[in-house]
Amino acid sequence: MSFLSNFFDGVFGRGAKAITVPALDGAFRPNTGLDKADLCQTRAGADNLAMMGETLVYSAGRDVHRVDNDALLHRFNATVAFITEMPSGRAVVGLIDRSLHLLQGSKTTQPMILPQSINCPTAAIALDDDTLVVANGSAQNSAADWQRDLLEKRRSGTLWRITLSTGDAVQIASGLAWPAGLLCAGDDLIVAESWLSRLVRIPLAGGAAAEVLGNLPGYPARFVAGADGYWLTLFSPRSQLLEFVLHEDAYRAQMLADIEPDFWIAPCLRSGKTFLEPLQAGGVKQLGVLKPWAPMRSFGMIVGLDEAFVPVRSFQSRADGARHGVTSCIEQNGALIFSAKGDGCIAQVKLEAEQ
Amino acid sequence: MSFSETATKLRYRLIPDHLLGEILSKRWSDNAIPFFLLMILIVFMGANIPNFYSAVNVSDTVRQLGEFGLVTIAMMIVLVAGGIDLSVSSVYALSNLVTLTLLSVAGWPLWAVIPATLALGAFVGLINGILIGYFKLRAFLTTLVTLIIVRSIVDLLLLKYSVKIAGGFIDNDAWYFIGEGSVFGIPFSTCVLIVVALAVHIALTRLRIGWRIMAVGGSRRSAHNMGIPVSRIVCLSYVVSGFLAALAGVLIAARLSGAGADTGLGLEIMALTAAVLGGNSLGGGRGSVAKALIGALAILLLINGLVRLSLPAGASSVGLGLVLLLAVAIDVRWLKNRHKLLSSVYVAPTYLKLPDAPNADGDANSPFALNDALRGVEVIGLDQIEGPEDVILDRNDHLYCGDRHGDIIRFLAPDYKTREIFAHVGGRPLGMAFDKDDNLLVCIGGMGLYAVSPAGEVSKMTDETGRTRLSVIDDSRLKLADDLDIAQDGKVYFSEATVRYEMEEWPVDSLEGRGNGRIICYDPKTNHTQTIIRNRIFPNGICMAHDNKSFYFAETWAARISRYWVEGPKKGQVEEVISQLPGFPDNINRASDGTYWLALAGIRTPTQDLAMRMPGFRRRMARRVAADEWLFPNINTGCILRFDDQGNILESLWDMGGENHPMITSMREHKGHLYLGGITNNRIGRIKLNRGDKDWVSSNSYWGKKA
Repeated sequence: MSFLSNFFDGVFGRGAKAITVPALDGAFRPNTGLDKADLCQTRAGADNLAMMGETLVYSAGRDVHRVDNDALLHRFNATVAFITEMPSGRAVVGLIDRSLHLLQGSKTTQPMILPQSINCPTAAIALDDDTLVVANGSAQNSAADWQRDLLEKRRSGTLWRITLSTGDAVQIASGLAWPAGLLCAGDDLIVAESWLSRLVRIPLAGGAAAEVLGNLPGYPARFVAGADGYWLTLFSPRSQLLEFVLHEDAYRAQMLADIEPDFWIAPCLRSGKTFLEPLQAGGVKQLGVLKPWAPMRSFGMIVGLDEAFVPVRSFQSRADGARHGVTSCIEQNGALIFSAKGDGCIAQVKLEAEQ
Repeated sequence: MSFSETATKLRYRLIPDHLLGEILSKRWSDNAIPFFLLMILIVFMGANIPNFYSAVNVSDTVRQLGEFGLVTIAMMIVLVAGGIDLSVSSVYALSNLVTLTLLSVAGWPLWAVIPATLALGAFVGLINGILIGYFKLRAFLTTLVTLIIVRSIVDLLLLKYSVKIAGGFIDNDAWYFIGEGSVFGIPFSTCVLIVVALAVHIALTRLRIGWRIMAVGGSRRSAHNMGIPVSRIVCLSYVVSGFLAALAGVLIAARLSGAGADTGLGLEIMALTAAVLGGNSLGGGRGSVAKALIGALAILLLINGLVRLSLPAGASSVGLGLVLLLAVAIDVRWLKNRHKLLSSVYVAPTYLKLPDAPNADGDANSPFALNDALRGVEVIGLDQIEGPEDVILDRNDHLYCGDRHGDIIRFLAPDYKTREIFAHVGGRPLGMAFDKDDNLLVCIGGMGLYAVSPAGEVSKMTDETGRTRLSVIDDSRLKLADDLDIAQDGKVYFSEATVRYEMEEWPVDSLEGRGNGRIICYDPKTNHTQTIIRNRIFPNGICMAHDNKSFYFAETWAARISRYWVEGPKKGQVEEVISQLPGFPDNINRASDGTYWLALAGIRTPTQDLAMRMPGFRRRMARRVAADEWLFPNINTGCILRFDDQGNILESLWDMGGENHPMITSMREHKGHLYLGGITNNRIGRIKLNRGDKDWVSSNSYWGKKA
C-alpha cells in the first residue's frame, strides 16, 4: 500500500512528495523591519554576536570585533565558527579547525582541541563556566559546505557536552538535521534543526528530540532569549523550487557533481551576486525593478517567539532588501542587534519604536 | 554522452509530447469521451445482439435517427443558448397529429400542410421564447408547463380525430416519398437531418447569429454588456427548437401515418440525454451539431439494443436514466477539470543540449571578458517608456521605439527630451526596420507585420501565413512576430518566435526547448506570405548581411546564430555561423564597419543548461511548481557582442552592475552612438562609440543616401 501511495504521491505531487512551503502570513507577514534598522557596522562576513562581560562583540571571518567601536579584539588562525558568552565574563570562541579558545578582552588562553568527531562546529552554549554544549552540523560536511549538506539531505548532526577543565566530550544527541542554534531551557536544550525547519527540545541528560516549533518558512540558525520570549534567526528561505529539487534525485546528483556551489539551486546567504546564479520566473526585473515578492534564494528574517515558542512577530528583509543572511541576533537595552552575514553588516532594530 | 542521456534524447525526439496539450486545447477534444462511449456501444451491441447490423436494421435505425436527430439538435440549440426545452416531445406529437388531421381529415394539400405544421411548431416555440426570453421566466418550469398543456391539447384532439385519421387514406406519392423514399439509398428523413445539421453547424460556427447564441449561453451578463440582444436571442432559440421538433413530427407522421397517445412520450428525456451525453453542456455556451449527433446515435443504439435484449418493461427507462446521470456527471467533471488538465500538460519540454558555454567570467583576453564598457550609458526617456524591445533612428536622427501599451514612441533629435506618440498600433511592438521609402515596418506581438508611414499612418502588411500541414493548433495566424529585416528586392524576412505561446508568456517557451518558431517571408509586391524556415528554437533577431545576399538570424534558447542565403549558389540553405554563445541572443543589427551588433538578452546559467538536458525535470517542474518559481534563463543581465561575417566574436560590452541599463534586447548604431533597448526596461540607453564611422546611418547602409 505504501508503495502505491508513494507512487500516486509522486504522480500528483502530494503527501510525501509535496513541495509546499509555509505562506508568509500571520507573524511572518512581509515587512521591511530589517531594512529599516539602523546600521551599526559594516564588515564582510559579520557573523556571531555575543556578550563578553559587558561588551558586545561579533565575529567576522578570523576576527573578533567590538560592536560599539568596531575595534579588533583578536585575530585567530582560522575562521571563527561560533562565539558564546560565559558566566564569568569571558567568551568562548570555537574555530572551524576544532580549537576552542577563551577570550577575555583581547587576550586568549591556550586552545583546547575538540575531538575529531566535531568536524563541523556551528553553535555552542555555556551551561556554566566549565561546561559547554557544542552543536556539530554534520558528520560528512564542513561548516562551509552547508549547502551540500542540505542538498544531500543529511541527518548526521550531533550535540556534545564538553567539560573544559578535563577536556571530556560526551555526545548527547545524534541524527540531527544540521543543528545550528542552541538555547538552554531548564534541564532541556532547545535546538534549531535547520534542514527540517524546526526547533526541537532535547533533554540535557540525553533522550529523544521532541518538536517545539515546526514548519518554519526558512532554515533556522542561532537564537537567543529576549525580554519577553525568544529571537530566532532564519538564515535562508525555503523555496518551492528547492523543495522540488530535493525530490529530483537525478538532477540534484548531476548538479552537485558538475556545477560550482555558488551556482546551485540552493539557499544562500546572499543571492544575485553573478548572472550565473539560477533565476526564477518571478525574479525577472520588470521596468528595472526587482519585485520584493520575487522568489528568493536569500532573505533576512528574525522571528519573535513568545515564552511558549509561538511566533508572534518578525522582522524581514525581502528579495529587494539589503540585510540578507541573518545568522545571529541579541537583545540589549530595548534594541535588537543583528548580524546580516550575507550582506556583511551589523544593525539594530529599536523595539519600542516597532511596537 | 551517457547511455541514459542518449535514451532521453531519443525518447523526446520520437514522442511528440506537445500534441497532447494542443489536442486538449482544441474545443473538439470535448467530443473525445462521447465518441469513445459511442464506439464502445457500437462494438458491444454488434457483439451481443445477432443481426444488429443487418441491412434492414441499419436502414430502420438510420430512418429513426432522422427524426430523433432533429429533436436532439433542437434541444442542443436551446441548451447552447443557456436554456432547456422540455416541450419538444409534445410539439413533436402535436405536429404529427396536426399533419395527419390536415391531410386526411381536412383534406389540405401537402404543400400547405407542411408549412402550416412547421409554423405551428414555431409558434409554440415562440410562446416559450416570449415567456422565457422577454418575461424572464424559468426555462425548466415554463417548458414543463408547455409540455403538459400541449400534450393535453394533443389528447383532446386525439379524442376527436383519431378514428377519422385511422380511417382516412392519404393517396399522395410525395407523402410516401417523405415517409419511405430514399435519395441515393439514404432515407429521406436522414437527408433532411443532414441538410439541417449542416445548416445549423454553419450557423453556429460561422454566422453572427450562431456566435451570439453561443455568447448568450456562455455568459448572459457579458453578452448583454457587449450589446447582444439577449432576450431576442433566447426567444429565437426556442422558436428554432419548436420548428425543428415540428419538422421531426412531420417526418414521423409520414413514416407511420398513425396518431396515438404514446407518440413522442418521453422523447424530451431521450433528447436531453442524447444532447448531454454528446457533450453539450447543461450550463450553456458549449455545444455543437456533431456532439448532438454523436449523442443521438448513441442513445438510439442504446434504446434499440435494450429493446432487442428483451429486458423487462421499464428496464430500458432505468438504463436511460443511468446514462443521463453518467452523462451529467461527466459533463460537470470534464468542464471543471479540463483547464486544469490543460494547464498542467501544455508545457511539454524536450531534450536540448547546448554546446559548452564560453567562459564569460575568466580569461581577460577572450572577447567575452567582463568589462564595464556600458557603465557610462546615458539614459533617454527614463520612466517615460515601458519596455522598448527595439529602437531605431531615422535619417533625421529621431529615435523610435515600441512600448507595451501598443504605441510607437518617438523621441525628437537632437536632445531626445521631447517624447511623442508617433503612432498607436496596438499589440506589442517588437522589432523595427525602415524600408526604402522610409516607412517604419514593425513586428507586433499578437498582431503580425505592420507598416507605419512617415506621416504616422498604420497599415497591415500581413498577419497570417500558410498553416503547417498536420499541425494540431492553427498556426496560420501570427502570434509572436518578433524581428524583421528587408532585402533589397523589398521582401520582408521576419521571425515568429513561437507558435505555442502568446506574447505575454514568451519566456515560458524557454522551458520547452523545442523548435516552436519559424521564419517567414512577406513579399509586398505580390502580398504573399510564406514560411521559409520551420522548427527553430525561438528565432529572434534578423539582420541582412552587408552584401544583402543572406540574412543572419538568432535562435534565442538554442544560443546560436545561423545564416540563410536569399540569393547566390547557396540560395535557400541555412548554415550555422555561431554555435557557442554564453547567453541568449536577441536582436542583430548592422555596425558601421561591416560587422554586426548582437544583443544577448540573458546569460546561460549552469543550472538552466543542466535542466535543458533533463526534460522530465522541467516537465515535472511545470506541473508542480508555481509559475513564479520556475527556473528561468537569467534574463536580468545582458551584454552586447560584435561579430563579423565569419561569425568571429570581436568584442563584448558589459555592464556588471546593471544599474544604468538593466536589460538589453536590442541595440542600434547611429552616427557614432549605440542606442540600447530592453523589453522590460523603463528607459533607452545611449553610449558613445570610440570606433566606427561617425556619420553612419542605418537607412543609408540599406537604401543609399537620399537627396
